[in-house]
Amino acid sequence: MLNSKLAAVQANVQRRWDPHFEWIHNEAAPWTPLAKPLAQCTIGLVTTCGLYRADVQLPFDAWHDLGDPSFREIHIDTPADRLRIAHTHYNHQHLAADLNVALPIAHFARLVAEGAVGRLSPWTYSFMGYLPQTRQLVNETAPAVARRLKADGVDAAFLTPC
Amino acid sequence: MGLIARAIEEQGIATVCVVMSREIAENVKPPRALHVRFPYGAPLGPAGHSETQMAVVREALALLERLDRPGMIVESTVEWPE
Repeated sequence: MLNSKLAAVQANVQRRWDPHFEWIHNEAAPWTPLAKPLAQCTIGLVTTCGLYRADVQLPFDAWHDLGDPSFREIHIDTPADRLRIAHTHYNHQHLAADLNVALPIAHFARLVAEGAVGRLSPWTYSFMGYLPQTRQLVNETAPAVARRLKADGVDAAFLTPC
Repeated sequence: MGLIARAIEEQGIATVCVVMSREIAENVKPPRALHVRFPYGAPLGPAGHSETQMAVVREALALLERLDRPGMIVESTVEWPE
């Protein structure tokens, strides 16, 4: 089922970090239709870039072979110089220079000003995307963020990787 | 990231993912995905190129209104600027 590229990555992760790693394969995707036009929607941002607030939060355990399934909440008004990246599996050069490379707060402010989007939710949620063992994410931390987005009144979530 | 999108969608919130690996997205199956051919670390475009980043954001957002069935992966038309 895996193509050769993913099979090679799987073998590499198994050899270097986690002998039990296997790619997840889902046959179908869940579906929630957008309930109203984007111009009336509250959008919530979620990223897996490993961003955290260096002044009030602990970093992700980015050096753990099995990853870190926890999340950090980051307010959209957080000064960019309070944010750091804890993620050891991509080059930080672009994101360290420009937050909007992966957390597009300025772009959504513009979309709200244009009237294309109703509102940007003040809370964004950050994960660290290297995670060969996904059970705790699937069973605990991702549903916890989903419930928070619901409580935040979010109509649609916009997710970025790194 | 697709797993997080699936959990959010299951909570009754529509999601759209920007994805950098079509192969991973085909396996994990997020509900809606825009595939960009950009290097890891720059999912919306290079640092300082806000027009490129904005174009990707607009393309991805549009999928929320445009797509009508789960599991679609749409190719982005936005090019990495030289």
